Amino acid sequence: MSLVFDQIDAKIAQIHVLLVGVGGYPFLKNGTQEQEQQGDLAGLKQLTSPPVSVEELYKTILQYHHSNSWLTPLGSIDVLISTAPQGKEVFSGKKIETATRKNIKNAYFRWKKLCEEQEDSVAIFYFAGHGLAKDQHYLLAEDFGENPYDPWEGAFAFDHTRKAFHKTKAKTQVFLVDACREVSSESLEADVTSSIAPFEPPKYTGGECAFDLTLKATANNEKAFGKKNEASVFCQAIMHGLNGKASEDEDDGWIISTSLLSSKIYKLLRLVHPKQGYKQRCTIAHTDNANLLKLPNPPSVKLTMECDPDLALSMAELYYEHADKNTISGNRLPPENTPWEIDVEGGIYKLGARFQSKQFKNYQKTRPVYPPSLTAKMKCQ
Amino acid sequence: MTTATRAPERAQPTAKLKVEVVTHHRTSHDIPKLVELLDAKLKKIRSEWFVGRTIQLDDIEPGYYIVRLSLTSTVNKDEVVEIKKGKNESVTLDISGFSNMEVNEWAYFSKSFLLRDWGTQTRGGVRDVRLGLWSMSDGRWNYSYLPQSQLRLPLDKNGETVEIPTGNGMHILEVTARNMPKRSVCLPAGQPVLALIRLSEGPRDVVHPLEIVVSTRNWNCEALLSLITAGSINEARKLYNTKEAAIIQEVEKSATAAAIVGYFFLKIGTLGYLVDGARFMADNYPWMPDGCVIHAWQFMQQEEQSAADIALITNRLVEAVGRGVPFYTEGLRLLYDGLVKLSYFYNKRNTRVQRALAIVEKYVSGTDWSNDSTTFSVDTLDDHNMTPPRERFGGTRGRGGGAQRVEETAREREARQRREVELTQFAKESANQKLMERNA
Repeated sequence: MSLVFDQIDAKIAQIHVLLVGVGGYPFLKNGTQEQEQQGDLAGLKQLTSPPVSVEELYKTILQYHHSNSWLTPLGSIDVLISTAPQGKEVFSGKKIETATRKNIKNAYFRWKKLCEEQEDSVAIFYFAGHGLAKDQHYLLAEDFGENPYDPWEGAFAFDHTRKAFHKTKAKTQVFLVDACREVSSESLEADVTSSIAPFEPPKYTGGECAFDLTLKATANNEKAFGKKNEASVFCQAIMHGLNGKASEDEDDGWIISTSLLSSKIYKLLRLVHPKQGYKQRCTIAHTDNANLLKLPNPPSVKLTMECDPDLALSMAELYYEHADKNTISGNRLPPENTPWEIDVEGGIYKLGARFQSKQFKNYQKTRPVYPPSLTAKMKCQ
Repeated sequence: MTTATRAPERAQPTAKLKVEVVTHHRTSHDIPKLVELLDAKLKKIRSEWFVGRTIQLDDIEPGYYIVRLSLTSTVNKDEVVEIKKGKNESVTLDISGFSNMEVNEWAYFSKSFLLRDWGTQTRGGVRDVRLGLWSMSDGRWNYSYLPQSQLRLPLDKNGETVEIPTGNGMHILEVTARNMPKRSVCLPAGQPVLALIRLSEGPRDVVHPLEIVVSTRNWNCEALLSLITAGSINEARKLYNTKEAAIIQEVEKSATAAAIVGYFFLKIGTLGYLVDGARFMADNYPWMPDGCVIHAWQFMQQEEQSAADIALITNRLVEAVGRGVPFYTEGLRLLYDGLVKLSYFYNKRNTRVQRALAIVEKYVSGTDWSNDSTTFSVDTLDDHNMTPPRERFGGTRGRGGGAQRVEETAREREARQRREVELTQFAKESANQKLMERNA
């Protein structure tokens, strides 16, 4: 067991989190015990991003525990990690279980048991690693490919496992899957995927949980996207969302809900990587809305100030001033050649550019600066 | 004796704010829009769904405000307005620029588009686009070419709107072009359907080159559908509460509008008027798979089910497959999930369920889940006897735009007949089961 956070109290509703990051696949290409895999599977490599994604997400979850922002108190965080040989060390000093299929399965049932205690509890599951899709989504554990003649022993059928979990008592269930959904053509032909079992079969009785958000990072036939030893694009988008960029004002606070994470996911992805927010990027399933976090202050907004024409940028003094709070203001003096990127509290701002020379016109406009981001062009000609 | 009276505190004089929306096409005013008023700290002061050209917000206190107009397509337009003591103001939000062509505005306002320039990712125009229509009647798929006259080619990223008349029945629009997989979209039944076909924006090797969105003119229900597809359940709930009368009117005249409301109620876990409505939909629109799916899920959502409930659920889901493909993506998802659950329940030994699941799995693997109407790559569905006639390009076309069947290949005929037998078998088994259930 690797409970990295344990304040479990079965008598009250709590948030229980299971984070799985599989970066090290010892039996795949460049692994520590590399085996020759068959067909397309030979191309599956080590990943450095998943363990980092898990650690970053863990820190974010913990940060909001310390600021009392979760609407339901945090009860537990269970983590499983497999790190690639070239991967960054994460959770240093902590004893973390490796993400083999058996360990993931055991952790899944421990976590499920916690989620069976109270119906107002919140279940959060995050998986980062390799995945393949056919009729459903299969996720690959560390021991995938140990037996090259039946590599699928180290995989599990995510979609059916997810369907089974709906019956769990916790009414709010958030599943985030940060894995590829590429179909291996040879695997498709061979139809071996039909032998991959879920952790438990879906229950017949009962429909879906009341507050479901099942969000997959990629559409069918697509690779997930992450830079070496950095959190993945999807994970960063989720963290931006939790950090308030998917929040809305409600009841004297800034609420982050399952509905907002779902409906703003493309904007959040574009915030991380402009070309990753296209419409088919994610696969989303959801039922009714549940509020997750409440932040006391307006969220920060990524404000980018540019000049039109670009030439004016190097000569412009750029400035911003909150319409209601005089204390929130700032400026950047010339010469600078790049757009000015700043994080500001959301609100109404006077945005402008001033020039010493008469080559360009001074410009000022009152603009809404609304999460997640705004790119404002100063028209100086 | 004099009594000192305290002068009543005078409230800060408030003002009215008139919000005017500028669009190009006259029908755009019928599309529901959300107007929100936020103060300088982004605190939400007002939030209202409305249709029409203007809306007036009363009792606004002095200060700076953001007027934010949001459409279900995810398009937003913001303006800052300063309200001075007691002085009425107006603000004009021009959203006509979102679509380059006024006839396409409906899609850019009501359907989920991402309006960004992909630069080098943008594809060149496509010239050889052909439209076909698969219609199911009595368990048979029939194919016809659609008139091409409405479609101006080459097709670019702005796209073209075509209007397709559909009767009561299951219809699938199939779009073909050279060197790209076919793209098929279920068309809502019973009325002319608007379809926008355009080049997709997104990575070339991931996103299908063509994007197709379809809509009826039941704008309130269509808005509800867009919201629930995007996951904006709170806004969907607000829209339903504000526009309930208009939504019910649309439901009364359209089976597919009723299905949308059915999915909405299933999402929020309240059956509403669907207690009788789901059965009504399933029984009275025998061509619509969605009615069966909603009726089955009405029972699946119960904590416990009797043997009769399980029989009903099984029959309804199998019957849905016999009717075709659910019109809406949400229906396909529920149909698949329901059949998976049934499959485990019967230990994978119920042949009807297994057969239905095998068919649905093929749709599921080729589905674009981001669209609200069921959209898939038909190339993956050749086994379902949805193979079009042999001559796809430059083949026989109906004169004057009329539809005309052309010769099938022997293989295509064989596949079609096999599918027809399957469907007829489904229909018979479902009917028998229902009869047995009633007799019991």
